[in-house]
Amino acid sequence: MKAKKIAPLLVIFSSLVAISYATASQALGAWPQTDLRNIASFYLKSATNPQQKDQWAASPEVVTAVVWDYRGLDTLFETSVFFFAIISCLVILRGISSGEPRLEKDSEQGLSPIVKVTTKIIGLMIVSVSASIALHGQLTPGGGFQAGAALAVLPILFIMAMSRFALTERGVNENSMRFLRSLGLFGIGITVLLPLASVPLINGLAYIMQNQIKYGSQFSFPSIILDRMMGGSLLIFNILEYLAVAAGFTLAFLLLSAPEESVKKILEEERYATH
Amino acid sequence: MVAYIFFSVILTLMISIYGIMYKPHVTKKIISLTIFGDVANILALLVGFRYIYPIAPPVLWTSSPTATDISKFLSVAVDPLPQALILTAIVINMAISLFIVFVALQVYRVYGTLDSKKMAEKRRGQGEP
Amino acid sequence: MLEVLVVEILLALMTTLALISTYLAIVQKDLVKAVVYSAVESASFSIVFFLLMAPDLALCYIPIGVGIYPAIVLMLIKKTERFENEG
Repeated sequence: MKAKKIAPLLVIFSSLVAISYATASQALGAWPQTDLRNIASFYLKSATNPQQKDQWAASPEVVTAVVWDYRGLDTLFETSVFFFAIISCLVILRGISSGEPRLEKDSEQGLSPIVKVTTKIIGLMIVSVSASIALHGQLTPGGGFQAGAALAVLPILFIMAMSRFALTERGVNENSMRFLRSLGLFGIGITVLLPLASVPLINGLAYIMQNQIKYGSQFSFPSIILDRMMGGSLLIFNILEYLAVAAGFTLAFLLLSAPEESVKKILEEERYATH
Repeated sequence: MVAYIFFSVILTLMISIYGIMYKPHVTKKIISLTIFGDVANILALLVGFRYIYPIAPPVLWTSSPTATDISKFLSVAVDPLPQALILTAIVINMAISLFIVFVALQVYRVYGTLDSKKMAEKRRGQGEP
Repeated sequence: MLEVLVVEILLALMTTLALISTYLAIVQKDLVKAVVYSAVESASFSIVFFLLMAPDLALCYIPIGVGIYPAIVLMLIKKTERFENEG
């Protein structure tokens, strides 16, 4: 019995010693490191260089260019992993809809009126700040996923300060959020396949998720607007990802905050139906 | 100082692994799992950092850069590749945490408790919960 | 090299704060306090991300680690048990 309790602690301690020794003897890179690695200097050099137009990503922000242009397929599959997680949550809680009637009056639910008015003012600020983060994602640090996560704080505040019905009576219910999320993902799919649709027009090659001109292919999204580099397809991807992520998070919160009585009824019906 | 930073991060990793293995309540395991994911992201970023001075984030903000601008940018900028991969890892961690919370809620509705030792007793005692 | 020293001292301070709040989160029996300690740890890690010159990640961690994630776990705690019993 004693050995069963001590053995995991020994494993943890020995792995701590092993990781520390491996890091100190330069297994994860030079210690301390002062040079750039070769692949990093390639990305930094070619993402903003207008002299060499067949390796260009047309945006001054290198991290967004790596996420949506040089490593675009990784981000595509990460978006689909998030989509499948939301679908699995919907499948677990199937049959629960938000059509319950109101229990009390509007002014007796939730917290005090000071909190409600402050929440509405803060809600306006949250919407404007998150839209700004999504729209300048290709020029300064920002992007689609950060803005979607920032906007998803708004339904939490509304559910906790007022009640869940304050959202469902204003049109933010499960069906409309499902529609917005599918719209965002559909738009991303169209933008990924758009270069292939232009092959008969340019009489040449085209690649999936292509942003600018490549070797052997003449297709390019418009990249310079009023003498500033604007990123081409990065702006379109950021806006669509913002919409899809915010709608997905809101759907998860609406499912999680369903009242327990209606959920118990649906579980009892299922259990008696299978026996 | 650099050795102390690395050591404290690895110690946090070990404490979160201890929390996953030794605490029987399911919610405590979920909290420890997210701390574990956070620390893994920090380790990945510490590996790709440059210990020079002056240092800048990987954003170049001149309107049409010439060759000298770009070579000066290369001598002060940080590696952009770990940041892009950690962004993907954050999204996937968030999706998995969301799903685990929903499954834990459903387990509570079926078993009546969220303590893994009591759940094991219930399954051993009867045929089904 | 005063700036380098200040940055290193801030990094050491923030990782020590994360270590202490992680230990308190794992040992605590009241689950609501454990969630608040893990939010403190996420906030200090986002400051570490900012000091290591990654502003994208710092912008991403604050709404997730302090806003969305504690809200989900608090809804789970409200619908299930609050205190963790021993044995």
